[in-house]
Amino acid sequence: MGSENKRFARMGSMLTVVIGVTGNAAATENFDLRYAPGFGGADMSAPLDPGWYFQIPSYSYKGEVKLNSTANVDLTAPPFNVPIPGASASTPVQTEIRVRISALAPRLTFMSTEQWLGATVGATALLPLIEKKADASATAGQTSFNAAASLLPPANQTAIANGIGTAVAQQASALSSASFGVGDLELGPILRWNLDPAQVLFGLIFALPTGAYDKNRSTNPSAGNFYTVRPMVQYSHIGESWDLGVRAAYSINTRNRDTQYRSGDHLNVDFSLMKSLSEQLRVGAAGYAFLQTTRDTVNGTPTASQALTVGKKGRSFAIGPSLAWIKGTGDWLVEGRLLKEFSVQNRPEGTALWISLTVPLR
Amino acid sequence: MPQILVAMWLLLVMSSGTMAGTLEIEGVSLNDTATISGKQLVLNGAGVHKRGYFKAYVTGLYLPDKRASLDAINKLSGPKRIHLHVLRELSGSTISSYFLNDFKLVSTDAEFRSLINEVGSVGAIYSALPRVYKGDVFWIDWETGKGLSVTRNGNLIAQGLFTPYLATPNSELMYQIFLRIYAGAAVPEELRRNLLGQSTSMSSSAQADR
Repeated sequence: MGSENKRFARMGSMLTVVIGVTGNAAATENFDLRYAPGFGGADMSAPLDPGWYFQIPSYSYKGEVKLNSTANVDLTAPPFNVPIPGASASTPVQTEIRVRISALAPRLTFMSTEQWLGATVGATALLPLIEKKADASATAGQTSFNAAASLLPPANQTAIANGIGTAVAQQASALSSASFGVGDLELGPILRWNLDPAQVLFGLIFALPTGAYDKNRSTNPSAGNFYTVRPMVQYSHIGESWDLGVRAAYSINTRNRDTQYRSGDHLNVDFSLMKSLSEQLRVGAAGYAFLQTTRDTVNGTPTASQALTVGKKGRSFAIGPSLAWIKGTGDWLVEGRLLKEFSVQNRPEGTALWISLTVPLR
Repeated sequence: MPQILVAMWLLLVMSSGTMAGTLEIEGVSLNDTATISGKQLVLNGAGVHKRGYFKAYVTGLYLPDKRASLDAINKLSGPKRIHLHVLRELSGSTISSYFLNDFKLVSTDAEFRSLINEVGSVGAIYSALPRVYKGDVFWIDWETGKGLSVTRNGNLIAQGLFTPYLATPNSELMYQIFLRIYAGAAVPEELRRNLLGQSTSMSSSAQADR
């Protein structure tokens, strides 16, 4: 019997725990978003006059998500093969995933003097360099056995519970990974209506899966082997000693051809409200809202990691201080904002730091 | 009694933020009149022009008679002046790009092609200025029979086609485009209304009343 207990404990490590998700989960594949919430900052109010502009935002995000789930195990099936018909066990699992993202997102924008529909016409392109880290850990709670499985000797039950715990820990560990590389290319046309002191921009951005991607890793420089179409509208107004910028971007994702997973569509709204303390220095507040509008879906049976996110819609809000410095009359602009998330559902919750440099190229 | 009336008049003038014969905008006093080659012009209107976050210059428009629309100004014979009082230091490349971008926005492709040499000359003048400084005053003048001229702090600029007058066959069209740039649809509505005499909201007295 002692050797059998050892066998049960070892078998747990071979067990593929299909986690039946109960309680909260998280949304978008691997929690990834191509449009980093809060991307639009104090630069949104800068007049996009004809010319070339180079921007290099840096992004640092730290967040975590806790997921409650249940591991339901059929003990009559491999690897346990318990010879008691109907024997099963159920173990509550709490998984904690800590996400770290660091990125540089150099962006080149050109506005021409050509006009269409009363707007000047331009284009923008962005190619990010991204480091992502996911660190996952899981804790198995008290395993409960159904009536059939309760007939097993206590020592067997303990060994099975230990085996399930080992499997849970191993699978959580498999969610941990790190990656670094060039992300996905984004580009598209822009229209700008100059309503001095206000301006309105419309952009249609296409994100292409050009970055490195391995479906077997939970983190990749690329968001995945799928495309995103993102129409966006931006309004800004420069007042006497204040300025406001608001951007709404709606991302529509295709299905990831490697995983058959489709992250739901989502709306990002970024805002910035700044007060001029001097001709060079502005201070204020910035923030964002992220609202997923359609649920994640997957063709076929979800994998263990997909099961954590499929069928859910995510939401998050953030707000924080913002600081901007203009050199001369706009030789360059540097800004920083620290955004703390709140009221988060089905997503990691944390803090984002943006520091951006914008240089008009003459 | 007359002394009281004088005192009341002085009080009225001083409380309006202007002395008789001037209009004050952003601390810049603009005379009610100007003179070009002995011909007196009147201040049609003035305002402050912001470029992005910054107040770049005070613009004044001097004409033989007051007019309330760009069409009417173009039909008005006689000399004209666009007065620019610079409010902050700007690089020559910055004002050159302002000019070229504004020119393309207010002109048609045909006009731009017909004025390519003139535009090049003006662009060269701006580019040759390493910087313009706060307090610099530019006059962009039109005189029938002489042409278009640019003066900086009272000194006529002679460069390229400006000898010192731009007297090409298209110089009058060039001046009309300057008017579009500084007083036409390219400028914010409030500034345009002030320059066309339809409002004085940008004057210091009006700002103080807000």
